[in-house]
Amino acid sequence: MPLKVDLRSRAASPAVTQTINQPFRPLPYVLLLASLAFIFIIEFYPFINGVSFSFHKGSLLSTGAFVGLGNYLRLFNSPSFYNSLWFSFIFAFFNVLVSYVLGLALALFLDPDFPGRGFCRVALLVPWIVPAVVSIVSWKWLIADKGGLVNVILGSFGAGPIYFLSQSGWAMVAVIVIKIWRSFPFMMLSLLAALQVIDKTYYEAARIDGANRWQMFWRITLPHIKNISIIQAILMIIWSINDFETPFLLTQGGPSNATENLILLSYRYTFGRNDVGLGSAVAILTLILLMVLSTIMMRQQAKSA
Amino acid sequence: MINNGGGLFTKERTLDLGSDRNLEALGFLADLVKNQDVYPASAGYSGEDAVSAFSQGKGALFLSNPGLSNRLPKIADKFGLVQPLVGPHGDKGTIFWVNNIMLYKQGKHPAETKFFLEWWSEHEKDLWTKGHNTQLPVRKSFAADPYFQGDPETKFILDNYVPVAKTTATLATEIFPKLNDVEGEGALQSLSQSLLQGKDVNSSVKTAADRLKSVLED
Repeated sequence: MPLKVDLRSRAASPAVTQTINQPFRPLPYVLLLASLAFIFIIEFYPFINGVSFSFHKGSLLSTGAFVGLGNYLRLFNSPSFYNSLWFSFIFAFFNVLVSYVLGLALALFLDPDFPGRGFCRVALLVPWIVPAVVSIVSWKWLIADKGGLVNVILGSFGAGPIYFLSQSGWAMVAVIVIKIWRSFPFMMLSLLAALQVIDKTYYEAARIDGANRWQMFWRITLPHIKNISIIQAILMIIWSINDFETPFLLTQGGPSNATENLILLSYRYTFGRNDVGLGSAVAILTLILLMVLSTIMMRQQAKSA
Repeated sequence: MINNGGGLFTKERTLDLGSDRNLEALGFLADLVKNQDVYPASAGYSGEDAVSAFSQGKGALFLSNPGLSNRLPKIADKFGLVQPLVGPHGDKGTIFWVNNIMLYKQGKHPAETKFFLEWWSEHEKDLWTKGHNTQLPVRKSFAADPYFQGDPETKFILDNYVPVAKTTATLATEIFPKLNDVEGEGALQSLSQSLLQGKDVNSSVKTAADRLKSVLED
């Protein structure tokens, strides 16, 4: 029997009336001030400072003169910015898409009980657990032009060698593939958790009704993991666009800036070119881009909920 | 470019990446790539890769900075120094950087700081003689010291390379603060990587020149 709560009668209850009539007590708010100040200092102060830097022509030594939107206008006229924007986009797009598909496939594989499932789960988490420096250096050895395992295997079939980190196109592929390799375990883990809370009776009922595997996946599994999938996609987009270590450790943004994403561009402008204003402007535009993408996806999620 | 009598700038500090001498030097590199005289993976290599290849005996010639013997002590007796390369027009050259000592104008005691740094620069020879610095000294009085003159490698560099060495400001005769930003921009690394990938010289130079121009205009 459904539980009904009469809000009108609760609002009129003596307990609620007493709460409303209580005098304002400032002490709890005063006690909160220290925490709020701490949050402001570590969260908002750097952000506000960053926004302020983006409106100044500053260096690492001084804030510099106020230039208004000058740094942003310079960026909009810079081929480097569009190059980085483009690479950030394809880097995030392929990373989200492939790591999601791969993560979902593995989650579906690991969902039912089978001997060795625990070992498989742990083994597949390794790429996510290993520190970035270790995994990327290992990948560099694997795809090295001389003696790298990948090229040795290609050579055994009479193919290659492929100069993965020396040609712009291949370098982009290498950076994206390695990012996918580092990302898919998180997707897999989250989707596996989502799969395991789906009520199995849905599948039993569908089976009795004669649904095949594809229909069960399409009609039961996907709708149940839709929300977590959107959240995962948002997180993965943010992490991909904000990724510094993968392209930096692998190619340092090269060759010829082919793998330079927005974060590496911001780093180059700030620390290479000593132009903190321009570097901050890149960072702020990246933030705006991420906020827009996240808002669109969250609205999409809210609509479908 | 510097070996060929070129440089990034004119004598008046105007950017001049597309000068005849520069294009000739870059074209020479592009031709080496085109003729497959350059290892195809070179564009992805770093300085450390070069050191590693040379130390393993996989490289015959290696452009390095002074102090390579200290970096590779195990093979120091297996390599020697050659005379600076001579360009097709008879130019000799190499590049050098000065590690400047800086002081802040906005400091509380700039005059006193300057006085101290002048004293320091006159008395810092111990940094080398006690083994804390392997680079070349700027002061001629230090370079004349038996510590440097007695070391065959250092003496060879001081006698043969330093007299023809030029800064990144070349053909301008004096360095200027923007050079730091010019180098930090990484346009020249991108240019060399483009050429090592076999891309067109003129379009690669134009891209690099545009980037350097934007740095200098800022």
